[in-house]
Amino acid sequence: MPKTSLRLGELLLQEGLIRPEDLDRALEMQRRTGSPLGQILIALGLVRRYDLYRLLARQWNLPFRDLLQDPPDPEVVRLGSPEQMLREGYLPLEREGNVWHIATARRPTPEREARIREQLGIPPDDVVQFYVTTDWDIEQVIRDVFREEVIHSTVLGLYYRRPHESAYTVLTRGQFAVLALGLLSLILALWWAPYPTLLLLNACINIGFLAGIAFKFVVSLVGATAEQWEPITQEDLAALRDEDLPRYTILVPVYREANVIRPLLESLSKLDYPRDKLEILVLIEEDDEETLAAAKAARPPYNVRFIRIPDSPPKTKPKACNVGLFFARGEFLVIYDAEDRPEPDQLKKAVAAFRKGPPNLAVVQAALNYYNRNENFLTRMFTLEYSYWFDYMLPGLARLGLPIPLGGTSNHFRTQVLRELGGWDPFNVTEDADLGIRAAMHGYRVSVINSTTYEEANSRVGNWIRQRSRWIKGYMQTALVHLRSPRKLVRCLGWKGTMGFLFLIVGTPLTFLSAPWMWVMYIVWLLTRTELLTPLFPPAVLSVSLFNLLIGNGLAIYLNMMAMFKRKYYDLIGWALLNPAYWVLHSIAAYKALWQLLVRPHYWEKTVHGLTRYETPALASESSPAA
Amino acid sequence: MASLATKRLRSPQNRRRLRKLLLHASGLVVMSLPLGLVAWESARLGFLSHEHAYFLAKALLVVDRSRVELLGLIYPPLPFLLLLPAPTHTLALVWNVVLAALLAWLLGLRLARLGFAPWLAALVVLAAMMTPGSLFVATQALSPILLLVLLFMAWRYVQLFTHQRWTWAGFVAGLLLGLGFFAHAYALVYGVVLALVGVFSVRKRAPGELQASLLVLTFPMFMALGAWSYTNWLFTSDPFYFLRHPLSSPFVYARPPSSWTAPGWTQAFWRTWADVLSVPLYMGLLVLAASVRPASLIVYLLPWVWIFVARGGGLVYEPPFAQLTLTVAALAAWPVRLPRRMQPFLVALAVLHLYQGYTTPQQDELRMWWQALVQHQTHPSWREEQAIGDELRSFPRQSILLDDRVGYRLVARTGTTEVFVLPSDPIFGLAMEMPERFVTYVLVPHGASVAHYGPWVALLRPPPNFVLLEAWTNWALYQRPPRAYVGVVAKDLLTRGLRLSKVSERRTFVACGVRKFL
Repeated sequence: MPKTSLRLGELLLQEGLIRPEDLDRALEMQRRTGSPLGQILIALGLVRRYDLYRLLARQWNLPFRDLLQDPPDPEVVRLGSPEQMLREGYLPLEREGNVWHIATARRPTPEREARIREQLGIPPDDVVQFYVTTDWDIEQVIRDVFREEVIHSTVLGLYYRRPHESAYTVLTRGQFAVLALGLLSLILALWWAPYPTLLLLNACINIGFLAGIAFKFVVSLVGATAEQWEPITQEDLAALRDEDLPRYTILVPVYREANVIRPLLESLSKLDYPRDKLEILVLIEEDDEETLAAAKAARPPYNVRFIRIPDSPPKTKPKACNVGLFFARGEFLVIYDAEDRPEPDQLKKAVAAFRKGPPNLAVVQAALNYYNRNENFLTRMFTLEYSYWFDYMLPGLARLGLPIPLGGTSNHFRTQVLRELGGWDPFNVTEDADLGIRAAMHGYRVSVINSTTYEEANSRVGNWIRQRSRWIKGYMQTALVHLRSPRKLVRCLGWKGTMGFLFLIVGTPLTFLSAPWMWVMYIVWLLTRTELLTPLFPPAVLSVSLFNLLIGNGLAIYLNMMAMFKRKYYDLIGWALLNPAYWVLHSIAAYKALWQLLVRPHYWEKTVHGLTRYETPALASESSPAA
Repeated sequence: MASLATKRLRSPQNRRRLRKLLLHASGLVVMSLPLGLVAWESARLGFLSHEHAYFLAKALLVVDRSRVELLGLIYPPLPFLLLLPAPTHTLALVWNVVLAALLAWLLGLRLARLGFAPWLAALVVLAAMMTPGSLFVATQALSPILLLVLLFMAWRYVQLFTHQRWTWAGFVAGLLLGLGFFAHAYALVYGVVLALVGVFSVRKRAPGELQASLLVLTFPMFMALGAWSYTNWLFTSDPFYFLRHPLSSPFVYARPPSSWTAPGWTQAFWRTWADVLSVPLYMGLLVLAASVRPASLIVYLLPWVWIFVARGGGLVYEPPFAQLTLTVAALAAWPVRLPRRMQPFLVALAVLHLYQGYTTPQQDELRMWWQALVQHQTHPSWREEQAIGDELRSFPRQSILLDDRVGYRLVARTGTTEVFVLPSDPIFGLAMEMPERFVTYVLVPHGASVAHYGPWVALLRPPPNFVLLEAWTNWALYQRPPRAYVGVVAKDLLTRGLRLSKVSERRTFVACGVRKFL
């Protein structure tokens, strides 16, 4: 191909690959965003990737190589580090004597060549011959050649780097010994002195409940006042210029969700972010041909890439996300579920939050809520719960500087920090909550932003219990992981943070597990007025118990009401009174979780999405508390 | 450490916070000084208000017996809880003064926000808080002052909630109103009134917002009512027992006749009218508010109407409390920034308010207190009461049978409940049946005071065979007969198979201590 001095746009026009008005549009966008023209053209779908790189090869005076037609030597490819090659956009193809054939997706400058030589260990006397190829080809080859390495690093990466932070081991020997000893002591105590033991247990449970109520009340009160200080204002957003915006990666793990792919892509296309700076990675399991076919049929824009997740155990969302992280090129990264509908300004708000926040701010969490809230009792209660959690609890935790267990989606990361932290733990079934705590343990901060992602609330009881039992099991796993070294926990989180961890992560499953015993005792007493239970409730315990029953439960209901009011879901406020019925479901799920922790600790209970009969709403009609 | 503190102080935000805190603290101290002086002088003269005595007696009981569950039967529990850390008269006075100073300071801040010149705000607050009636509530009535403080604070948050649409403010307002129920039963009425006024003062509302706002503002209050009713039902089988306790009940019929008489509708009207006339600030501001914003007249009339309805309906609303309620309501409800032309009116109203406060004839406890204060003279009955208390303090443990629904003042004066057997003690019922078996002494009302106590008091007469040991103006102490008799009684007790066990302690308490004597 003859060398040309024409610019890329002129070349494209000359070749008839683009219309002048499209080029003008792309150039205008380039002026605004400062991105390379080629990237913009691909993102806008104005030029095929293959054509663009062919022309770039002509412009750079290098040969073009289609790696799918002419694959490289895997042995040579293996000489490089996959992470480095992905980041730098090159690939060693073959070696013939002292000549190295290297494919690149970026212009090879002398500095770049020096860097590549250093990374591949090419002797100074050897010659490097560059070829141009597409970034997509490079990624594809790396995925094929390094398949085992990718599996290994995404599944066992954290376990090998920091085994004490991985949930691969459910119980350490020490923990097992302590638990066994505790259980044995309890049985012996029950046999030897049943009433005093039960009294002690009852007192501990009630005091624990009381402390939990006090903790949640304080956090909620602080979270409620956060309304006065919007984390990100419209002025903050207006101050962001497109050319200063960083590259952003969106990870969307999907599995057997062919029915939600199209709405997902539509909703992501509404995000207010320069398309050329947005990289959307749809993570599809290898055995999920149905979803892949649906995704292809939806004809996604060029900034959407499908990443096939190698079919290997454990088949979990965190593993898929780790694979996504491996290929992510954005400075920031966010996860959305397939059924998510983020508010359009969410990415910009996250960028503004990272810029306003301290340097150690590693994650910002957006609120989650539901678009099918009025579908049935379950969706209403779920909406109450989420509104309280994301609009009151999380802002409160953030303001108090306590560790935040991240929500399943809409958590925005600094990609580099996420890699440093080891990504998600694929053996933890609430990898998000665990990651939030891990970030805090490593001295990073987690904050919240006033933007909402709307999801589909679980509308079927069986499905809800499956999902909830996974969450509670995940909390148990997270608790066990971080309690392996209590001293380290205190050292890293401080006393305040440790208390927050204990109340949230340890306290939540314990509350759900112990609450049914309280309810049973209460109902038995109410029906029979038996005196048998009287010794378990000496005056002090009775007072605490009554406080929990009357004030504690009342406060929990009230907080849910306030959260509904904040969301302007006025019709749901009265439903808060039915919370006790919803808590029963939590306890059922908690016992299922406990059983699963013992028999199938790493099993991922898949939540089925797309069950709602509600249409995805237009986001404009939704009300965010910050809106 | 020091450098860290300095660093923190250097932040402008922290400096601002500190300045604000210092300003509030100094404002509170300044307001507390005159009130504190009045409280100190009345304590020096030996005055102990019925209300302080009641809460003190209960707090002493709980502390001495280490029985937290008694909390469930004391209403209102909040003032009582404030005294629990150290149940002394001094603490009761300190709380009263601090709360009143807080109310005064908050009133001043509100007036300043409404454009009152500082001197004028100070004058109005001074007039509001320095009349004998106000001073009495400010220093001697814990429950009413607590209610007024909570309501005033709640009102501010209700306004922020309804006008600024800050839901956190609604949250705080709801909690304050809920807390208000634990300070005084009238919080239920005022809470609903505040919620209604707040919600209806906003014109533009989304569908459903009105009901939702009302619900979130009043839910904690009704939750508190439900919780307290449940607790009372649990311990006494009567969910509204707390409303019938003779010393804290809002119902006239449940009170000792000496404390308040049911006026009937006509009398209630005239009594309330008299109260309104004795509060020129209320009358004046009502007229001025009606001239600048006629709609606010409704807000002004609500407390007036409630005081009248409460009294007419057989509820207790003492004049000093009513007058301070009207004063606070008048200042809290002022609807607009004060026009400059109204300043002279305000000055005149403040002066008139003070004049009226000092010239209106006082009644009952207030009259005695004010006379003593003005004349610097201790009332003989207070001296005698204190002397009884001092004497009883040296008696053996649980040796005196006393019904504290009558003798709460003596319990408070004694400063301990160790020497008494009281209705909340499990053995009280048995001691009433067989005093010889359980106590050495019985303390009963004596002389004219007996006529004041209704049928709700258990112990009005000495048991047979007990001999008079000592008699005072209103009280008489009887002593147990010789020991030989006790043996017979003990035998009798065994044959009747009465036992006390820890398991049935609570039930016995419920059966004997409460239900029987309602």
